[in-house]
Amino acid sequence: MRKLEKAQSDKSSLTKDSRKDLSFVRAAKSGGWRSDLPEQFAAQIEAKWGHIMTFLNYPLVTREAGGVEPELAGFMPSGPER
Amino acid sequence: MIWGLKRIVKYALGTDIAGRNLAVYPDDTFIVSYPRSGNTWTRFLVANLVHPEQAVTFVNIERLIPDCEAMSSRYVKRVTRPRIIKSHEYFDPRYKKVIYIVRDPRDVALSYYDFSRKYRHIEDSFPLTRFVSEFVAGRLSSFDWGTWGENVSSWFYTRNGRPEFLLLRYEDMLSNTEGELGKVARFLGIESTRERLTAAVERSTADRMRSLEKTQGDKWVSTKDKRSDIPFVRTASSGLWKEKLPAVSIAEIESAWGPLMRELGYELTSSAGRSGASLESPELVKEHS
Repeated sequence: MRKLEKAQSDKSSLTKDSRKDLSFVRAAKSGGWRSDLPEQFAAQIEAKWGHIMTFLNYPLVTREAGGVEPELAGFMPSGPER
Repeated sequence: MIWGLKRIVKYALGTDIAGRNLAVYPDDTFIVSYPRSGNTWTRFLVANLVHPEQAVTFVNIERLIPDCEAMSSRYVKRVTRPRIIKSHEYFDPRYKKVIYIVRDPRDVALSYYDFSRKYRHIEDSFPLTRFVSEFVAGRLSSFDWGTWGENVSSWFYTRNGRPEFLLLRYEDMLSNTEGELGKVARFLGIESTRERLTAAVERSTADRMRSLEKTQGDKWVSTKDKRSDIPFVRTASSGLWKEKLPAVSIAEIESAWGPLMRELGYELTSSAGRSGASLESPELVKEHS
């Protein structure tokens, strides 16, 4: 897909008017956020959608998932991964 | 960490808003809807049904059926269990037992327009057509709860048909209040005698709620400090959009949510809506365009 993007990016509506120095097909892996996303932003995301993330089996790292006191879970600097 | 400290102080002082950080218990029941869809009326109906020993007012409603987006975590936590809680949240997997109220989005838009003027979010002169565009795009004060389409579909497509989910249409509640309240009573496991249902309905009429708002509006968390020349309890009607909503706004709403509206029994009137209704979900169309 990277090769195709290089050759055809000026023909696709998704990429033709976009920056060429950044590729549309990226790392194609999961978990990049652990090294690239600052913890404060991970915390913001988990605070907002933690319940749904837990429901979908995405482990939370900045708060406890489904603790007894959910409203206090955000105070945990780093909750256990599961 | 500072963010966490701020939250702990707010929690201790009771100045936070419970919202999505609400502590949910397994025996909780939620009354959920998008804003301006009859939630307050339903709260009155249900509270009067569950607590026939006392008339429900704007003064005691937060104690009987608290609003988790207006009250603090500590306040909602202290409400006697099993709790019934009012919410506008989009799908939350922790909510096990849910009464979801849906209302025709064309009427919701009109009601929301008045509400936004009451809350001083917009001036009286704000054009209705522009407001509807904001409503459809999800740029109103309620953006945190998604658009009408996102909020409704998040509950409807995940839970509808399950025994712990009761879907009510505001329009059905207006035309057959006792019948719909009877469904609520069965859902909650409450004895639904004709007398009990009738009493709850009579204590929750729009007229009674309007007169309570006049005398208690300055005490209720949702109306105090808001404009008192625009009522919170509005017309309590359905179909007003047919005469009040400009054709372009009707088309915009139907074009955005036509398939979902049709699935919920709301007839589409504009050609834009009808043609959109035959396509896949508009959110998906947007995603791929």
